Amino acid sequence: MTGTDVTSRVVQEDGTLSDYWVPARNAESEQMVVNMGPQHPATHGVLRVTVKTDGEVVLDCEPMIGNLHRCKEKIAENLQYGQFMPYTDRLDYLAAINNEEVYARAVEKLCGIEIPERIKYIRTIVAALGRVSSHIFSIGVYGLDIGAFTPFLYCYRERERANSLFEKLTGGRMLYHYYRVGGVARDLSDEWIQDCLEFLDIVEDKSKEYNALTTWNKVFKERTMGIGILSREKALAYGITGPAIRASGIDFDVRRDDPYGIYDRFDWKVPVSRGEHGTVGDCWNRHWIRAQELQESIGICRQAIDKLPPHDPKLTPKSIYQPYINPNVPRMLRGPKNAEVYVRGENPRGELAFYIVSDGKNMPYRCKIRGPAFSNIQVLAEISRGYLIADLVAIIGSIDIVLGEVDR
Amino acid sequence: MTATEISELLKERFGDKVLEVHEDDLSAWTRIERDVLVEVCTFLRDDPSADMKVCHSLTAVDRLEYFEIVLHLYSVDRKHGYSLKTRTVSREDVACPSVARVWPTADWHEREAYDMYGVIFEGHPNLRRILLPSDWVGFPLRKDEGNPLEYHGIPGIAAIRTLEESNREAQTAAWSEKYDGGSPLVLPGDKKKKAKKPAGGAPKAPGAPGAPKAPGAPRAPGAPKPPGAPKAPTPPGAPKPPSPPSPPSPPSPPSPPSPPSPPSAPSPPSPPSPPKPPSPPLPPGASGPKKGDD
Repeated sequence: MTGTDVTSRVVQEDGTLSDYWVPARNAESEQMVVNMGPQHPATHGVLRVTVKTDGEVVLDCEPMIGNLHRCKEKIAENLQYGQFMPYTDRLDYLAAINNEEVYARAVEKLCGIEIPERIKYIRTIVAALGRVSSHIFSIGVYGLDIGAFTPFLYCYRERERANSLFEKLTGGRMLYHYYRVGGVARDLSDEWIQDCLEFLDIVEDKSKEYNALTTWNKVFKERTMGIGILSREKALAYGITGPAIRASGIDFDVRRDDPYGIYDRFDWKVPVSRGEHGTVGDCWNRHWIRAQELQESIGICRQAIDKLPPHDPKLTPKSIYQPYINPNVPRMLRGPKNAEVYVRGENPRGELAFYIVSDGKNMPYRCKIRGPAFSNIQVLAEISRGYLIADLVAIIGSIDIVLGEVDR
Repeated sequence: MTATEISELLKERFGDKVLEVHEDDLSAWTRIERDVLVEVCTFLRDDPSADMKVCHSLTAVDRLEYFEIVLHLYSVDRKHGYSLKTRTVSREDVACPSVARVWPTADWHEREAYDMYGVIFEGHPNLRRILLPSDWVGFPLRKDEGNPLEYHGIPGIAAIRTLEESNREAQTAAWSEKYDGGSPLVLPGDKKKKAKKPAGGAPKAPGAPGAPKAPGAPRAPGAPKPPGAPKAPTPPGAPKPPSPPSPPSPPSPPSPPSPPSPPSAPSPPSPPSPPKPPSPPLPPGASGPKKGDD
């Protein structure tokens, strides 16, 4: 293949690259296979991408995953239902609390456990806070991928506050183990709620800075607009979920459309890309959806705190070592015989789902973890063909993977 | 569409190829004949009322006699989901048609199912291992799969456990050497042994300053070296030549009673030798970490 073929393909698919890409019309070119990663800073962990290049142009690429494989599903088959909860933290370790929620819901559905009203609100508050914390980080790191170091520092300032907030509540700054089957580890204190409200005010204020530094920044827009366009059909066929599918113009959010929890009681909307800026489904839109979801999550968190029901004396733990759960949860959880559940939830990076097959014992017979990033990173080759290597970095960053969840 | 409607639709379209329909509060699925999997999937994807455009997940379950393939499908526009199941003939005949041409996302999910269970998806464009290394032997999520003993020199968990058992005794000895007395980690038996050693081995110089028990303790600045003593440090594990005790001069501390030695090496009982003969001379006042009892 010559350089002429490559460049003509770049220009044909979408005209966006032609303004700065000067095609070498008559130059013979040579293909080369380049390995990006697994130690590459832009691959978000230990992802290795084998890139077939022609000069600077990506002809094809294949993500090579598995470097962080920790046999989560095998571990789940050998642990009791409650004991697997801390392992779910390590799936998407940037939004650990959201993983726990999906797993807790899966086990509760399997064992038929009801959740008290106050705990539903507590879960909503911490899940929204987890999303805020995760999206702050994603926005900052995306700036870092593109080459701007400043947004990362700005965003990490607030991420640290979020970490401290979680530390105050759960004891962990990154991996929490806060959820329990049937409840949570402990109740929210009034002091913590005040801290949380203060944090939300700060983030709402500072998110203007993030948008100024990244979203509306001219250099940032030029790096991301029109790059890595994921069409609606491709997004569905590849099972893309989360902000990426909404950036492709598909109005879908599990919290609203396959409802769980109490999200129907709050006033919030699902941000969807309609093509106001850039091209629908490009890197910039994926970033912009995240920036908007940050605002929505702040709103959900505030409303949940407003409506938080008072403490029910029936839930008071007998000692400080007891979790704050529904008192009817049995000490030994056993699933029904020959039953299975498939429970999914909206995580900051897409839909996490647990498929648990029970054979009546106190351990799952099979626990399949459907990680959102596993499906999302699969589309990388499809949307990065014909772009430059520097754009490949921008595309990987905009899909926003966490390797803990890809490799499980 | 509800789950009942979808199963009715499948029954109507595929007749006796639908083998089993299940529906309860927890799950709803239909088990179909293995041969028609691709047809059923294509039908569900393209039928306007079913509209299963998304294959959410594809996985396998080890049912001991056979492997079960489970697909979780979803329609984004109509907002309903359904599960399809099929099974391989037996544990040995593990073939199943691939749906990677119906939904491209099934590509990696099928590779993962092959990686973990060894199900062969016929017609898959690129059926390789995905999470495990390509030279891995065995399929780890099968119920009869044991723990691997080693992989390229990395010991498996079984080997590590055996190693830990054999090392435990030696480790205990090493800990008791390190935390000589006063440590709760030391077993009572070791304490007694240690208490005896200095009494019989190295007699303390009366009134000598410094910490006699610090490992790597200072030698006297002007202490004459034994003529036969090796200059280079002794290799670990080799029995150390006994060195004569240093002459008792007033400013010099006595030689350390027993330095921590590797547990496998037989240490000479008396007189104890310093670990490194050419240790740097220190002024007697500024001797290292003080753990002394005088």
